[in-house]
Amino acid sequence: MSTNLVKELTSLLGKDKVLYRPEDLRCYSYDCSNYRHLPDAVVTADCRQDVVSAMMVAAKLKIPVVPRGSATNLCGATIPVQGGIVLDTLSMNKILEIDKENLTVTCQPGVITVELQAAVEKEGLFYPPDPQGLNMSSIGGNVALDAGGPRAVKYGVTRNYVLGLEIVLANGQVLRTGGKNTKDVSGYNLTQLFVGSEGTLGVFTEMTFKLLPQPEARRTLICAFDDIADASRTVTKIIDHKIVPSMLELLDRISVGLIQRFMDAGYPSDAEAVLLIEVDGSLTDVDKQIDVVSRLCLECKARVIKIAKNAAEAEVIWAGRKSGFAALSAYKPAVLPEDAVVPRNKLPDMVAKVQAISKKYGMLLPTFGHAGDGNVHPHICFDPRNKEEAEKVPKIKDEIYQAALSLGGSISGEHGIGLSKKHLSPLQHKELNLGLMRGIKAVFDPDNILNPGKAF
Amino acid sequence: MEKLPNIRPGMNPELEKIYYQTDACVRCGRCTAVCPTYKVTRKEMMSARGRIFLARKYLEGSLELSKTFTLYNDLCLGCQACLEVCPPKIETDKLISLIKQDIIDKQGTPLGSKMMLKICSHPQAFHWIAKLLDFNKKSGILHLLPHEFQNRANMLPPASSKTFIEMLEAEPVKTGRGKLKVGYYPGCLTNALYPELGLAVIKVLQQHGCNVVVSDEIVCCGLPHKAGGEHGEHRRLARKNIEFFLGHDVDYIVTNCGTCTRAFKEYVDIFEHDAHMMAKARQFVEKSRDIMEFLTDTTGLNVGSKSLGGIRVTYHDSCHLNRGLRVSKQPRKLLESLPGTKFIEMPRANWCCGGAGSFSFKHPDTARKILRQKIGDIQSTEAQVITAGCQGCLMQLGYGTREFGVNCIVKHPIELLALTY
Repeated sequence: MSTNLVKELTSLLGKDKVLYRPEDLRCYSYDCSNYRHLPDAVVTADCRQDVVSAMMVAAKLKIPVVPRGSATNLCGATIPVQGGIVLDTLSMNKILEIDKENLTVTCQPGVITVELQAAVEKEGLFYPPDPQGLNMSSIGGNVALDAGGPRAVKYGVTRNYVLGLEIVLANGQVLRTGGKNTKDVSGYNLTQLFVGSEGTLGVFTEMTFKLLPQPEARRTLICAFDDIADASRTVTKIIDHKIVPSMLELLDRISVGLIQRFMDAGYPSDAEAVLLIEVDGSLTDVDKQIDVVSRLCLECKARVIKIAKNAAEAEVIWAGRKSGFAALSAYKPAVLPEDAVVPRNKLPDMVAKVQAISKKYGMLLPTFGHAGDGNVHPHICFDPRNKEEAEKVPKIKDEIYQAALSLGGSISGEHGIGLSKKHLSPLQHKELNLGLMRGIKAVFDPDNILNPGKAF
Repeated sequence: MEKLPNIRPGMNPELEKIYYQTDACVRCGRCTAVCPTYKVTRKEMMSARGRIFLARKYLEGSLELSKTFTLYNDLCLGCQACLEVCPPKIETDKLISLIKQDIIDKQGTPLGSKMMLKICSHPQAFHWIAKLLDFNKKSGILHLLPHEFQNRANMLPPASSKTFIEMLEAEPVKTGRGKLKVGYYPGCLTNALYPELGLAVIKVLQQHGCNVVVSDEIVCCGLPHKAGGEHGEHRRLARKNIEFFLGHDVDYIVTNCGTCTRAFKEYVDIFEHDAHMMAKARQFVEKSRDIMEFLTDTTGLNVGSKSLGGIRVTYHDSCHLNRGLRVSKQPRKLLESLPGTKFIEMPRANWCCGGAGSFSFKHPDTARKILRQKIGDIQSTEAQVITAGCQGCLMQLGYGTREFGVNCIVKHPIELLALTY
């Protein structure tokens, strides 16, 4: 099958864009999850026509296609579990237009997130979504998995910025949805249907995002607590006082210790919990907000409060949080960042449940996450060569999500389902919901060739 | 989830150790943000995480040795940018060089590399080759050769009429009453292609109260031989350099090339079965310094008062100098102290220029893409002078200015310093 596939692909795309040597296939068999599967061929698309050509071949031969950007996802979304074609759009990396009148940016899917942010920033504009892998993740991947980050508490996630898409469908047809309109209630919102669909409905070739003006000022505060419950209480209190910080992150003692071991971010290593808070707005506004926030922290028994004096100091504080995953992977060879989300006021309960699971299995579960929006990341750190540790991993993972669901939460806040949480989907969704999703999938992709076996 | 396999039995212990180190690669992709070969190709095989993955499969025995595998390993610049950002600090450059060594052990040194190494072993041969090429370029004979060969020949700067050593023979170094006795190691490229740099170094050292020892007995640092698997020759060259400088009882050995100084650091390990030589090598390594580090940190900078007339200067970090020897602040300090000079930091100054030893000759297409990006970064500073502390970089950057028509001169910072006296 695969020689025929390669022949068909090269006849349409040319030799340079089709990879099939064993060495090449190996390199497209993984992502940042712990799953692997070899594809039969890799297409490195330069333009929409390449994507169309690859889809036509796949449709004709009824072969799976897995769209891929930087493959930095954590859930196995880009693993070609059934072989077939890995369709790499990383070379489609042009920023096509920054529209300063309509506050939009239009680009191709292979642009790296941080490069998009930098480009719009040059024009005084702001693309808020900030997944913590933004230095290497592709914007197409961000849309496919609806990536989020610390700023979600105030600014929302990728979904909230997608205005329009150009998509190549399973049969090779090109679909355009949405556009530059900020309001649009005509028909079903197909654009949003594609966001977070993990490449199961189509392949992105162009996307238009909403932008905001850059906030005038930002202030960062770090504070430490002797009891993690006090930290959680602080989060609720801040929101209660009608302040929505632009970032509101919670780190537990173990994470703080590991981050400090990895880099000096100035976190107090002996605290039970640390909150990192950023407010933004106008110059006078941020000062007022930061005053209120520090008062509330003190009221909730914060032990140390430090307000960053300048942007450089703030940067160090946030660099620590950003290096969280890295710090943990420096500690143990394998790290699974779990991604549970609960309603904001259930955060203390969720944190307590994670601590109980950690105790039950006798394994550290360093936890940090976006306290402001109820999204926590307990990290399962283990050595895959240690049989005893490795055997506990799936049990710990399932218990974390059962805990989240019992609190009315979800099995994924921002990492997606991919392969890693597929088996948990039926615990969250009723058969009615799953049936409808299967129906939608069948409308777009009757032969089930687009990233089969993912998303739900 | 994948069960972790093991390395196949009988591999050398160093490879085995680094194999288990790569267990910690979580494929987070941080390396993809800084790897120059990935940046210009956007292909997974050209990233550290791809190379690690392939190396693991090869070491586990599930991937055969092939031309493609050899090529992908050879396409690693060895710039160590990935090591800086890698959370578990996996030494990909070391892994790749051990794999390359393993391939050479199995297949022998390729003929082209063998010839190159022969040339490197003989200081004067280098110069004659450069002169021959230069003559061919001027006479037009080169046009008769295949295009690929012409391109490579263009990478070399115009040859000078005399080598550095020949110039010294004509006008020997004056010995004064300097406080320090400093051995100067010019390196093959300075001798053959950049003799005026060698003269500048001597002048600058003398201005810093040093008595300079230099000689035609000095030979190649041996790095190319090590990389080419010729360990005996590597040891022979190392021994010659060590014995020459220690024999002259110098206080320091100073170089103007990050790569050579970095190569010296490896002299200790290669004599692991010879305690006497090992002790000498250690002494030699302790005395060796890059010149910019030496002037800034050891003697203290002595800058002349002559203005350079308001030139804009930028600086490119050589990977060996910056990541290998941690010398990056000193050159900037030196450049900022020059009268009549405006120093401008370029974006991505610490990104490899694509020279990387013989990389640009072996892989001109990839090297050219990396160089084009570097030249773009340089142009954004509007600098008139590009500086770098390694002859390999100087050669590659010089080629870049000619190839992309950039009106910039390429100098070692020491050459600018020499102009201020």
